Amino acid sequence: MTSRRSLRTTVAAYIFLAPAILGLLFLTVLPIFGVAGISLTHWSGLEAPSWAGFDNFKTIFTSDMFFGPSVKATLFFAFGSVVFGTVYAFAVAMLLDQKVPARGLFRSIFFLPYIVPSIGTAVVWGWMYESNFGVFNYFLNLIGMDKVKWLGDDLTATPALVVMTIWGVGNFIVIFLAGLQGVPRTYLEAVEIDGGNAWHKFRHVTLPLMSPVIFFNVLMSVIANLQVFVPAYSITRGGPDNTTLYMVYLMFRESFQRNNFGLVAAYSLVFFTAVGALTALLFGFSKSWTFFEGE
Amino acid sequence: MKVRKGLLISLLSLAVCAGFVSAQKTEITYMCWYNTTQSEAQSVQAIIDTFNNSQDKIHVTMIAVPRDGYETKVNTMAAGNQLPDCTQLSEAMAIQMAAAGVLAVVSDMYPKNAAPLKSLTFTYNGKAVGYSSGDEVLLLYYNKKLFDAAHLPYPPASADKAWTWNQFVEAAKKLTKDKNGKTPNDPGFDAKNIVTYGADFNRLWWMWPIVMYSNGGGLMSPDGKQLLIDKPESVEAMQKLADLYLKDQVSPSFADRSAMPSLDLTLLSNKVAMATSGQWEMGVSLNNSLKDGLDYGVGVLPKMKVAVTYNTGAPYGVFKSTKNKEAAMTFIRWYADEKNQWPQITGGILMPVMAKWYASEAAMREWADHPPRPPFAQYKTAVIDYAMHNAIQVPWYYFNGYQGFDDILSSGIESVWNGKMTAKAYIDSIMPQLQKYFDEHKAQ
Repeated sequence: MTSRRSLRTTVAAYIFLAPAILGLLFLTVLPIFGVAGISLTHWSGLEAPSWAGFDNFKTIFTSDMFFGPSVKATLFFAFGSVVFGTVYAFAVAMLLDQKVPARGLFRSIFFLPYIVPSIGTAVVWGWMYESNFGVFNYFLNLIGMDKVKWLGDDLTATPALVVMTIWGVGNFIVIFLAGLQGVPRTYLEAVEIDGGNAWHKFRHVTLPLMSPVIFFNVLMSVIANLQVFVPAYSITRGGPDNTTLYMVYLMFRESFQRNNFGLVAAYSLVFFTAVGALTALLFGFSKSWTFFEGE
Repeated sequence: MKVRKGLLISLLSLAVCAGFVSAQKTEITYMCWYNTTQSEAQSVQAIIDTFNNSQDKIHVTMIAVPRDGYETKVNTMAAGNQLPDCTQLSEAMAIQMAAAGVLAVVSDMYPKNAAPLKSLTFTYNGKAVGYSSGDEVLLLYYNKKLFDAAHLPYPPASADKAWTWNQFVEAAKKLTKDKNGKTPNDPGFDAKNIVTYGADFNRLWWMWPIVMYSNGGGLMSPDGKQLLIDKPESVEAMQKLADLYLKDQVSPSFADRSAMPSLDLTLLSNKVAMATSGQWEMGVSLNNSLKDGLDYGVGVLPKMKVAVTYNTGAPYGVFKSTKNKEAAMTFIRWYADEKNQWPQITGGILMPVMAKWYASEAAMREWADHPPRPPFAQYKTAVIDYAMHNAIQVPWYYFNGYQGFDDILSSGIESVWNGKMTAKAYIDSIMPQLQKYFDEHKAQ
């Protein structure tokens, strides 16, 4: 009787899990095998694929002239967006945690950029960065400074896009805010009683207790920013001089616009491995600095 | 009686079936793009409606796709075996699709004595796979008022009188003004605060290499079999083009130029005195500012050694997968006919593709002697004769994978335009990649 009930329970569980499992299987696992297969071919998408063995992988690591610059550009962008984005989101969350008038309004204002469609954001920021008529150069001119070719110069293109990305971190702000509000007041009061100041509260209570949230946000930010696409597609098209030729944009261009699906499948496998390794590294390192209450 | 009745019913049924079959039109699909808004496709739909209503054998359904995602859409449809019967193609796509075996040969689309100009034919393995929908050539546009104010003669409007590069640069220097009214020839010229640039020779990726051909070099030979880009003449031409900004100080930087508005506004606002661009500018941009007082002229490009310009024009193609090739070609032949595109031709956007429109002065006047084009005398020598006698094809007419070729060519090209690298150093640095790509894709 009991075993029949537990069998029914097990079957019911699998039935409810089936959509998720099937989705994962057909939309994630099988396509990865498909991509692995395509990576071993030369395929233009217009005719049948031909066997290439490991040629595409050899090309990536020897003669491909875009892979190296693309990896460099992507890492540079991701590093800037993750580090500065995390610091910015944390700082804003700390400010929004204070008891200030119209706190709710400020929280909404800082969250709004996150829900603006990314293409719209990119187009408008592109106009603002425009060197002849953009608003940033207008203000620089007003204070007597020279115009800057924000998106036309190798050195400023990616930092300009990083600033645009940081503007949109409303989701991380909200998550940090939730984490901050979960920090028990008793610990903060204990620091006060022991004669500590705001810095001691931050360093010895807030930061350690927030470390899991910081880790989560950093992890999400790394994964999202390594997959940057919209700014490259809608504003810079990989320029100037490939400094914004981010990986996912390169994959899109080489596959759908240059008909090189085999090579792009190889790119994506290499990229997938690299991001997986980076994620594993992050998890590994996190043990040394994240503190989970109850440990 | 029963037999007669049965025979009558059979005959009637047969007649109905035959009528039904003959009334059924051949259904074909035609894919095209719109540049900005879907409403642009309505003008195409109107032309297609005219075709559909003018005969009862073929019915065309339009598939309109945003220009930006066009290649992606075509590739996706190809992968899913869902290609339309016929299509508008970008120039860079045509030979690549032919090489992949996706485009049908269309050399039988026209009778031999009534075919489009040979210069407008996309060929693969010696066979025609597409004809340009219109003829376009690169020209030199200029602001007449700035020339009058500087007491300079207008740029020449015929190839036999084309300016040399030095003459072009000298004129540009006299027209370039900083905020204090000084030219690059004057001491104290402030290159950081130029108000009017004397010249902008378009550095758009597929346009600028014409200077290499003008200097006796080029990107590749016209048969697409030999790379010419590393010849000294080609390198010298590229450096001279970069020097318009770097040394001569008559051109905007590449980034500043990219940020400038359309040609009509650039000329009208005196930002630039001379600029090179395609014939289409007359219908697409320059006509918009005529009412605001734009007084422009058109001339031939300056030459280095040879007076030469590019011709181009996006082709129509028929996909091999079509089950109705004859119907698709019939439609394309009708659609491409100048009389069905007349507003675009008389409106200055396109030039005709069929030789008959260039065969006599009367024929030429019929489509060219209209605003927004400049006076016919100037247009005939600067544009028509130039296109007929001095134009060469952009390599995408015959080279498979021109876009990929340019990915390598343009990958770091801004360092040449900005002076960070010389043209020689840059071309030397990309030659191994370029040669490898060229050898993999060139005509066999």
